[in-house]
Order: sequence, then structure tokens, then C-alpha cells
Amino acid sequence: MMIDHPILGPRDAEEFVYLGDACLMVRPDGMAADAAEAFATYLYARENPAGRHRELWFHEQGDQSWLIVTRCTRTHAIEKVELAQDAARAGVVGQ
Amino acid sequence: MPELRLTETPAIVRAPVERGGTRLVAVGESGVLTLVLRRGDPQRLAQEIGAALDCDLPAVGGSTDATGGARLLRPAAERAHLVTPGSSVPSAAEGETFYGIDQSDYWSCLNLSGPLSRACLERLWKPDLGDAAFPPGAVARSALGPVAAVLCRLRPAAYLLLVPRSYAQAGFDELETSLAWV
Amino acid sequence: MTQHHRIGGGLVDRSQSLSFTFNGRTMQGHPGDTLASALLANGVRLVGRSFKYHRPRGMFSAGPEEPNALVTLGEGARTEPNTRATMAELFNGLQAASQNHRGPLGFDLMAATDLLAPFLGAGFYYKTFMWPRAFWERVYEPLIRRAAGLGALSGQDDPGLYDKGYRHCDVLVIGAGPAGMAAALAAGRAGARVILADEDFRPGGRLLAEWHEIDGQPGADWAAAAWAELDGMEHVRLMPRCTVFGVYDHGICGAVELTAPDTPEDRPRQVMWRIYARRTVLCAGATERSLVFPGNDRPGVMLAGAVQAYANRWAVAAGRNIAVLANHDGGADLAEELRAAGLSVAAVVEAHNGQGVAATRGRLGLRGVTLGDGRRLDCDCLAVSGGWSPNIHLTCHLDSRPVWCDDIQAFVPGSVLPEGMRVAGAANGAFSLPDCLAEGQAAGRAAAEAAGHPAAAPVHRASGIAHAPAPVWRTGPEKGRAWVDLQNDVTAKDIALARREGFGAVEHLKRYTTLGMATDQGKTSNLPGLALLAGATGRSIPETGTTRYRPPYTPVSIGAFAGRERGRHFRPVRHTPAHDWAARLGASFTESGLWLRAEWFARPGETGWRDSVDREARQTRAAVGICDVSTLGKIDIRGRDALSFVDFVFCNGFASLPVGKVRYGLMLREDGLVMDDGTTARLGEHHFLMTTTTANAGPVYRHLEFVRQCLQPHWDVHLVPETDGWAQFSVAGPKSRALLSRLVDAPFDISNAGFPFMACAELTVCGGTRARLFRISFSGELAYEIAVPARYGNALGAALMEAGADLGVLAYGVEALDVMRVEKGHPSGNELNGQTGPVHLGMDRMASRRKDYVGRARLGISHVDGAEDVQLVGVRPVREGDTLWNGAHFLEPGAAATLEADQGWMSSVTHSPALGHAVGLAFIRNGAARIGERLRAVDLVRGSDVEVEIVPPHFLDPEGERLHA
Repeated sequence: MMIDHPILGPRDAEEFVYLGDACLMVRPDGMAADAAEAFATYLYARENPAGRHRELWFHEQGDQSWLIVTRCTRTHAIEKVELAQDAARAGVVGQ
Repeated sequence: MPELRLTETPAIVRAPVERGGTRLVAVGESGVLTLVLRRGDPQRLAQEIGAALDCDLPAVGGSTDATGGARLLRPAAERAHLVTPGSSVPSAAEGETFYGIDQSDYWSCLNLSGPLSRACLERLWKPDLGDAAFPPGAVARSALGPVAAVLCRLRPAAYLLLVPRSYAQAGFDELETSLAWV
Repeated sequence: MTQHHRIGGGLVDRSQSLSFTFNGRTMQGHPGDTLASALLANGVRLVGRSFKYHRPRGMFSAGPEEPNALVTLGEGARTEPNTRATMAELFNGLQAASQNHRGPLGFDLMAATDLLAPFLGAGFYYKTFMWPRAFWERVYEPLIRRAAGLGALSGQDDPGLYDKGYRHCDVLVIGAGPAGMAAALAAGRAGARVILADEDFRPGGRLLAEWHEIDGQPGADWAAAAWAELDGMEHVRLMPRCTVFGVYDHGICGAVELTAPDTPEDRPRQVMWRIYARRTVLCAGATERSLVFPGNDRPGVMLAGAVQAYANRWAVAAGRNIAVLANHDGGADLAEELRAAGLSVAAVVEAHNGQGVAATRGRLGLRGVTLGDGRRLDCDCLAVSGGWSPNIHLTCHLDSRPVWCDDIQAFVPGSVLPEGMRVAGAANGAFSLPDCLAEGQAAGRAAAEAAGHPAAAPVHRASGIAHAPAPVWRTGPEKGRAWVDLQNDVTAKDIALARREGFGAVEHLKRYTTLGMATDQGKTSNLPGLALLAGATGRSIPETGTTRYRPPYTPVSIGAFAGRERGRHFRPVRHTPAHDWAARLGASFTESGLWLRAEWFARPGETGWRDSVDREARQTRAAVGICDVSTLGKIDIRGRDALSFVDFVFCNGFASLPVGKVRYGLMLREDGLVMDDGTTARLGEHHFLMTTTTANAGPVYRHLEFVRQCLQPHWDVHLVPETDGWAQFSVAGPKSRALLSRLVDAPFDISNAGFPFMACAELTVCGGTRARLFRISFSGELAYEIAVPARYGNALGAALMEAGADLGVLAYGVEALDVMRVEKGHPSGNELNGQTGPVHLGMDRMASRRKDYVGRARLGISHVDGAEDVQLVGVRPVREGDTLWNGAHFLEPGAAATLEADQGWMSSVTHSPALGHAVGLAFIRNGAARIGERLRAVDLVRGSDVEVEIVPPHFLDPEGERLHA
């Protein structure tokens, strides 16, 4: 697979390490009273769609940036690639 | 107690390798100042780098000349490496938008030049080495097979490579093998 | 010596002669020959025995689809079994041997199985070999193993060299026949970056086998001229002998390139290329299929296009008296061509006009046929054509399905193709030469334009027509033995049988009969098989469907997948900055991930590793020892929010850590279990240096960047890995301060007051060398770690040894390091194995309640089943001389060794030189409350059952007095 890094251009997916669903970026408040349940959902519950999936990739062999890749899990077509930090700063991470 | 002085061991102890007019050399003496760049204010960043190092900050994926034969490589938005001939680097510079760490011991330098250079790299390097994607002056960080590396195309058939010290021998081996096999 | 079957013309170089052997017999050929063409030129047509029935077999085709002519090339370690003779480029000294027979090729003892044919139909092994049961392992299986397979491996290491590479282009053209050449010319002339790959050693595809004219030139000449023009273009890369075997996502193709046969042995023989193409033009041509009729497997029964290729390209007469059988008018055209080449044609049998072949004769090679009307015909070669199937395989590697085209009675590419791919020429079902050229050129132009290189449209002039096959798939009576899959010996009867037994779906047919499962993957047999199945089930061929096509298109050596990553190149070896120093001192090295680390330093007179390791641990505790700990991960952390960052990633508090102090940090995963541990030093208000365990340097850095970029994107904090940049030594023991005081430069105050336990500082040593000093202890002794830039690593080791000679300094390795930390009760990788959290480790009080941090929410909640309530304790054998084993499980006295009774497991053991007996660290259920209790440590694998006592996990100096000395 090729991942079109927003700054570095297209790179082989083998340069990256895959983490999982981008929902991992929306971390619940660890001090809240219901934190244990909220984190169980955060850690273990996944939509796991057959289709459009927003997911996190780490460019280990490149610039060590985290990317949010919007990819179809059926066809592997990649719709969008964003810098995770920019998306996190802008507060736009949702599906 | 007699005065103890610590002597240096080079990162790669290998003689240069040559074939087909192409030469692979471990650079004995070089300094690397790694710069951490903050992304907030690009203009201020360029200005501070210029003032501190007396050279232009290159765009991501490029490099610029600095004084004294040094070169400033920029493989990423937040990272640059000033590579200097001779092992001393400017004392760790710092500004609002950046700071530097002397990584002369972290990175070892290799030079690969000659008509077979690109064919050698092709056996190991996944990103595009073509003239459009990677012209002279271009910089990219990827890997030579299993060995992480920062690659700079100095001239059409001359390359500079930075390889982490513990992988330096392995990186030299891989390029030497490529040179023997292409 | 003489090549009786060589005729005039052809594209071989008669000025040179090449010598080769087949089954020990020496023969001659020419450059440009394949082994197959050279054998036929010498009149050899029996080349092997079939898989199941051991029937005599000869060349069937002239290309990669060859099912029969599988030979073993080479000898000794360079043996290559199952090589298609049709694809083996002839070179001087080639050695080949036939496969799959006992006794000589002409008298195979295993041919007796052919007599058992009625019992060996499809799926026979599902119905036999069942009784008596005991016979399966001892009789049947060994027999089947000996009978199975075709060629045999040498059993020796492959001395061949293989490599890999990566190429990028605008346009990848797959196939250098007329369509591919036209595509490459169009794209190349437009200035696009082109790669043109063809599996053959000579480009031109069917232009080399057939008589055509293009732009007024013979087809083969036109191809050569086009190739030369492309070769002269700087932005065009030609790759002959290169098979594109697979299509992957996003325009990535896998290809394997064979180097020329005369490549010296110290160069790679194959290179596996990953090709990144913006656009791909597939011009893979088409494969001819046979017809199904009784006795259609004898040597001499060949594809018509192959007979043509042998005559035109290789100047070889496949037979002296050739009959032609076809279901289209191409048969008549071929007959004309063969006659013009000086060959004798016995008959043209037109299956599209009701004629057919009903039987053949000739045991070791065709001698004649019986036609459908009963006439007997003498012939030594039968050229068969059942039409052509476009080579659509690569279009289907990414979940596309082909569609049926009635006009040509074949499958053509479906409507959804891999990203950026377009098909042209025969692969697209366009079989006439003008169509091939036009489609290729249009596809090449479009691809170049899409890549930013618009082009003019040169047109190639040629004429030619294609013959549409009639939907006739078999001739002759049903009761004769008619082959469908030649390589796996699957007959028409097998297909009927499968259908009768309920395996009438195409995917079931394949697995039940093994049709299409041999090394040729059914290239010539899939479609006839489908047609027969369709007929038997009363469906159309498109309704029956096809099985899936998967990479590789043709077989690829395992060696090519490995590339150079074997032996020395399998993994890089990482040396520490003090490696040379350790080697000079006689270190024995062990692998720790990719690193080499000194495990111990044997001295003369020591008989085993225990002697060395015990000595090193004892002496370090008595005086001073030094150990290279450079491999631990080091991460430089700076920024205005560096403190908040460090406080967020560790479960214990760091907010109060002063500048100049270092603290143990326990890093959790978000599920509350331990990820890693290490020490973090505060070198400045906004400057920290974190260490990680050796193995986790990479994963921890990845995790920290995730926290920085994704969880806390507004923080000003930056991370720079520093592991390789520093050489670091642990200096441990009561005399460690004395030793270091001889290295540190004035005015640094290394006294206990000036540099207390858990202090850190930047300083200089040995007259001005930059250094960092940390007062931390893994051994439990008074200890420090000293770091200098990596280039001084060897020198620092030597300086410490020299400066400490009169103090009794010695070097210790990772074994002694481990002995001492177990004695002290420090957890290490064995304890931090991903199953344990702070509670299990007895560190729950370290985990803060007052801040949010990674792992806080699930602390004490997530657990591994069966290990919820284990706690880290120490164990000692009740009988002092007993050995403890790591991995042993604990049982109460008298309990049976069952999972329900399991009380926990041993995680680390060592012989303690300080105490004189074995000690262990263990996770025992409710361990903290069971100090003093006696259990059994049971290791069923090693047959050990030792009584142990549970003790606190700190065997030495539990109050830590030595640390603060």
C-alpha cells in the first residue's frame, strides 16, 4: 500500500507502524468518576467497519509523525491522509 | 594518577570501496547538529535559523549550503541536521522557535558517488530516487533495507547518508553489497 | 551431435554452438534456444513422466504455461527441480535431467500405476487408506510421500545469491509483444518514465512466433527496432527476463527478474523488484488452450501455436508429419505456414465443422491418430488449438472478476480493474495484430497523459485477422481417457465423477479433482475443465464462473522472496560503542535483540560460565565492577511542557522532581499493565533524559510520540532519540565512588553529600570530555552510571579499568548484571511481561491517585485471566543445594499438578553468589500475605519438584544502606 504523507509525499506503507482506529485519539478523562468504564470502551470497543475507516499510522521510518488515514477496509482505497497532530489541535478527529 | 585522556573510535572502520567509477566512503570526521524546529511561526523560524547558523532554512525535503562547507538538511517539518566537515558543530544554538542538540556521535556519515550510486540505492531505498521526485539537493529519511538513514542527493550522482552509529557498519555492508552486485 | 529436426530460418544464432546435456546425453543447440527447442531440435520429445499415472510426456507448449516438460536443472547444491524446459534459456554447459520416474525415463517402473488408473480417480485418497488404521502412519503415508511430487530438492543450502530492489515509473508496461511495444513507444516518446517488462529473454511476444509485417518490416525486426529505440531513451527502463507476477494495492507490482544465464556466481541470479507505477498497461497476451479428446497427452500432442513458434522462432520441426486439429480456421492457416516452412502436414481436422480426433497411438511418443470418422492417420505431431484465453490473471489479483465473451469463447477483464490499470491487446481479447497495436498505443498514450506527458499519436500499419473459435471443447467418444489437466493428471472422467459426487461448484471441482492446482495453475486446463463442468451441470460457462486468481502468476523462487536477507544479512548487528573494548577483554557475546552484549568475561582457568558470572557478581559487591549499559534506550525530552509530559506518561509522580535529580519511572499502558520502566533524569528545568529497557526503546518512543502528537497536541514538548549517541557504563560496588573520583574533572563534587543517591549532573571527565553522571543502582550496591559521547566508549572502558586497577575493578556482563538485580529484587523484562501491573509488582503505592496519567483509569482492573491476584515475592529452596528453574509453577504440598491448583509461576532465578544458594522471583497468588509459607516449585518439562519458602523479594540489603553510602 502507499500512504500519501501530507508533507513528504507518497511512501510505502512498510515505512509505517499501524496502531488502529483513530478513536484512540479521543481519550476520556482519567480522573472522572466513570473513567474505568469509559476507558474499557476506549480500549476495547470498536466499530470495525467493512468500509470507510479512520485509523492511525506512525511513520517510523520517515519523520516519526502520526497520521490519520481514511481508508476503505474492503478495497484499501485511501481517501484522505492527515497529520494527526493538526487534526488533534483543531479538535476534528471524529468519523 | 597519570592524566587519563579519552581517545576516539570512529563509527565505521572500513576502507573505501570502489567499483565502476563509484566510491563508497565512511566519512571520518564530521559533525551533526540536530535541530528541533517548532512549527508555530515559519517566518520567525527561518529568521532565527538564519541568524544562528548563517544559512537559509530549507523547505521540507531539501537542503541548503551553510558556511565552511556545511550543509543543512531538512528531512521533516520539525527536524533538520546541520552536517559540518570536521567534527565540531556550532555550540548548541537555541531560539524561541528551535533548539539544537549535538548529535555528532549519534549519526555517522557515508558518501556514495559515481555512476552506479543510484543503482546501489535502488536495491535498498523504497522512496522515489527519480530526478523529478528527488533532484540534487533533495533530502529524505527512510531506510536502507533495515537500517534507518537520512539521504541527501548532493549532486546528480553523489549522495550523503546519515546512519545511526550502532547501525553504521550494517549500513556500509548493505551499500557495499549493492555496489558489488549491480 | 546433429540436430535432425532443425530447419531453416528462425531467430537462433547458428554461428555459435552451445553444448548441453539431458539425462547424461550431450547435445548441441544455439544461442536463442530454450532447453525445449534445443531438445526438439535434437529429436528428443520424451522428457518426463506424469504426476499420478507416470505416463510418458513431452513438450506441450513453448511458453510459461508448460504443464509437462518439467525437468531438473543443475546438480548438487545448485539443483533446481520443476523447471519448465520451455522457459529455460539455453547456455553452454546446461545440465538437465527428467523427473518422476524409477529406472530410465523410457522404462519407468512406476508406470504400473497407470494400470491402477480405475482406482486412482479424483478424490481416491478420501475413500482409501483407511484400514487398517495402524497402516496409515507406518505404511501408507511413507509410500505416498515417496510417490508424490515431481522433482526433488537437493537438500543442501542454496548457494545462489538473490537481491531485491525498488523502482518507480509513470507507466509500467507488462509484456513486450506488439501491444506492449506500441504502448511503451507511445508513452516513451511522450517523455513519460516507462518501465517495460517481459518474461522472455527476447522481447517481441508472438511476433517472434508468427509471420507478420508491421510498418513494412517483418514483425520480429519491428520488435527489435522498437526495443532498440526504447533502449536509447534515458527515461525508459527495459526489463527483459522479468516476470511481473503480482499486482498489489495502489499501483504496486511485484516482479522477479532473472539475470542472464552467464551471470557469474558472485552476483545475484534473481532480483525481486517492487515496482511503483502511476499507471499500468497490461499487455500480457493470451494462452492457447487445448481440446479434450482420448489419448490427448502423448508426447507429440502440442498446442498449435507452440508448433508454430518452434518452427518460426526456433527453426525446429516439432514433427516430420504434422496433423492439425482446431476449432477455428486458424488451423488451416497454420497448415499453410508449416508447409511453406518445408514441413509435411498430414491433415487439418476442423472441430468447428464436426470433425475430430477419437484416439491416438504411440506409447513413448505419438505415432498416429484415429479421426472421428474412423480414418487412421500416421503422424508424429498433432498441433491442437481450442482457441486462446486472454491472460487476465493480473487484473484479478485485487478482487476483480473477469467476464465471459461469447465472441472469442473466453474470459476477458472485468469492468473494475486495479487502480491505474488498463489492458490492451490479446490480454484484452483483441487478437488481431492491428487491434493489438492500436489498443497498445492508445493505452500507452492515455497512461503517459495521465502522468502529465501528453503525446502525439504515431500509428503502426499492419494487417491481420483473428479467428473466432467455435464453442467446441472436446471431440471423440466419452469413454476414452481424455486429459484436461496434464500436470495433475486430471481427466474428463474425473470432472464427471466430481459432479456426480456433489462437487459441482467450480471451487469444489478444483479442490476435489486438483484441476488447476499444479505448478502451471491450470493455464491450459482451467477453461476446458470449466467447459466440461458447465456441460455436465447444464449451465453456461459464465454461470459456472472461474476460481480466483492469486499471485504469483508463475512460480517464484523462495530465495527471491528472501533476497539478500540471509546469513550475515538476515538482520543487522548493532555494536555498542564499547564493543571493541569488551572483545579485547575476552568477552563472550550474546544477542539482545539486534545488539551484541557481553554476557561475561571469562578468565584463564575458569571452566564454565558460572565460574565467571559468580566471580563478577561477587567481586562487584566486594570492590567495584563496570558494565556496558549503552544499549538502554535514551530519549531527550525538552520543552515548556516537558515536566507535564513526563508526569503524564509515568504512573508515579514526577512533578516534584528537582533539577539535578533522577527518578525511577514506571510506565503503564492505558489498560493499567506495565509497559516499561526506567529512570528519568531532570537535567534542566525544561530538559529531561528518559531511559527505557533495551528491547522497548522503539515501542516506548512510538508511544511517547503518540502522547505528544495525538493526546497532548497543545503541549510544547519535543523528543529526540539519543540511544546511539552515548556510551554508558554502570560503575557499581563499594569502591565505585573512589574509582569515579579519579575520572571526573575538578571542581565536580562526587562526595556523598555533593552527589547523593539519585542525583544527576552534566560534567566533564578525563580532562575535558563531555559526560553525564547518574547515581542510580540496579545491583543494589553503591553505584553510578557514567555516559560519554559514543566515540569515547572504548576509551572510557579502558580508562575505568586502568584507573581502578588497584581498587580491584573488573568488567561484568549482562549475566552478572542479572544475578545482582535478582538478588536485589528488581523487576526486569521477565516480570514486566505485559501481564503484570503495579499491584502485582508490589508497586501500587507508587501509582499516584492525584493526577491523570496513562493507565490510571484501569489500574488494578484489567488483568490476565488466572493471574488477577498474583504478587511478586521471592522464593528460596528449603534445601539449600536445590536448583530452581525459571518458569516453574507453584503447588501446595500434596496438590495435583492441575491448572485449578496452580498458585503462580517463577519469573526469574539465579544462583546467588552472595548467599550461596539459588534464589528466585515469583508471582504467587496473594503472595504478599504468604511470607514464610512453603510451596513446591514444579517444572514438569524438566522433571523438577522442589520445596521452596516464600520470602520478601529483596534478598540483600533490604534497607538499602549500601545505596546511600
